[in-house]
This record gives sequence, structure tokens and C-alpha cells, in this order.
Amino acid sequence: MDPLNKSDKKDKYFKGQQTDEEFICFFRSHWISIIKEFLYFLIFLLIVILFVKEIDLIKDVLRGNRELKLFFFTGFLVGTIYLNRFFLKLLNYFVNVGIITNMRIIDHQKTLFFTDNIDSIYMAQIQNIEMKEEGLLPSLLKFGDIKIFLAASDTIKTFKAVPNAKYHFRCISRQKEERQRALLYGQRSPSEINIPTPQIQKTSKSEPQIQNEKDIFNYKKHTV
Amino acid sequence: MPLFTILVVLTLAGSLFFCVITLKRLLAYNKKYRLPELSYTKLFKVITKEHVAVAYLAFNTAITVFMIWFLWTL
Repeated sequence: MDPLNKSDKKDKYFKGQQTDEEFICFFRSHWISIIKEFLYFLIFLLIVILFVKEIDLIKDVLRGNRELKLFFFTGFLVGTIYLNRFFLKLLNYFVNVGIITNMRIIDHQKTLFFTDNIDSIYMAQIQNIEMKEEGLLPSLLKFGDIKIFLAASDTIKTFKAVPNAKYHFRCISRQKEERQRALLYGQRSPSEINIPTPQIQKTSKSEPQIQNEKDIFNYKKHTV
Repeated sequence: MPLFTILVVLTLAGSLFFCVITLKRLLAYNKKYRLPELSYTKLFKVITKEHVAVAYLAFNTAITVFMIWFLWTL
């Protein structure tokens, strides 16, 4: 990112953010997707509290008894593994995000150790958006699924358990309309007025002269 | 040193090591992703990943200290 260029948004909020890409918002899964882990952790905490409360009794039982010490160690090992797994799951919840910008929606499916998948859907490729909020819990807790139907293919991208699904649905719809209007009709939305247009210089007589994104869109439409 | 003590100490060391590695990876993620947190992006509108990281380290440290005391007094 060029510190002297204030309109340069490259990597400002996330790695891979383009120079003229404006960050709108991001979301994670609703907390309902992780509530089960908290319930199990509560049970684990109760067991630990019970253990600490009866520590003298446990010491008396374990002294001089090798088999019971082995049994205790097995329980301790399982508890340690569970504790580390719980916190890892919790941190994985935080790094798994969906990002909405003025140009695209990014589905970043990530875990701290094993997974790092990024799926990027450009606003111009979106044909239709659907929001589903079915059931008692989704209605009460205000979360739902957002389905994105892509143009020119049968692909459907689904974001599950999106919190405040109506807000994010409206956000994506607005950005999609603004972006498609800007590309198809050459009109620039208020949020894009100050963003510099990329210029591509003509290098040979056989190559078309491309000066803005509308030309890129039209060029790709005619060559595909 | 009895086998039981060795096994418990090894388990605690492994747990602490894993905790440190996890937090290092989280720090590396934070350098690349500086997404502005709002109340609706936080867990239960309050908890951020930094809170979870501190809780993780605190839990691990507390259990290590407690088990060392337990082994010492056994």
C-alpha cells in the first residue's frame, strides 16, 4: 500500500484487497453454530470445579496406587486435549469470515491449521440473491441463509447461518446493483466517483483499445 | 522421577507448546486481516478473538501451575 496515495486501498483491511476496492462490511456465522461447544465446555468446567473441590480426597486415593494414577492420567490427557480443541474451535470461528466489498463477495473458509479456502464472487457475476429465514430459532435470533445465484452457470453459493441476514441481503443487493450499473451503463456510483479508472495502453494494432472497465466487459463479452 | 509425573509434565508441556503455536498463527492472521470489528461481528456482541486468545493462555497457564502444585504435594 502506497502511504502517500490516500485512495490506494490495496491490502488495507484484508490481504488481497485491490487498489480501488472499497471494503463495505464483513460477517461471521451466527453464534448458534458454536453454542454446542459452549454447553460441552460448561460441563467440562463443572467437572474441573468438582475435581478442585475434592483435591485432598483425590490425592489420598491416588497415593501409592499405580493403576488409579494411570486412570487419572488418562482422564487428564483427555481433558487437556478437549480444552485445546475447544479453544481452537473458538478461534477457528473467528477466522472464518465473509467479506462484502463494492466489487465482490469473498467467502474465506479458514482454520488456523488445516484449511485456507478463498472463494471470490464478483458483483457483476451475480444474477440473483435469495435469503431464507425459516424456523423458530432463525426467526427469533435473526439469522438465515443467503444464496447467491451466478449468471452464466448453475453455480449457487450459499452462506449459512448469516447473522442479521436481512441487512446483509440488502447490502449485497445494493452493491450488486451499483456495480452492474457502473459496468453496463458507464455510470459511476457515488462511492466510485473518486476511485481512479484503470488505464490499459494499446500495444499493437491488433489489440483493442481498452480505456475503462466497460470496454473490458464488452471485450470479454464479444470474445467468449 | 515416577512415570506418572513424567507423563503429566510432558502433557502440560505439549499443551503449552500447542497454545503458543496457535497464538503465533493467530498473530500472523491478524497482521494480514485488519477487519474492523463491530458489535454484531463479535461473539455474543462482546467477545473478540483477542479475548479468546487471552482466555486460552490464562487457562493453560492456570492448569499448568495447578498440576505442578498437585504433583508436588502428591
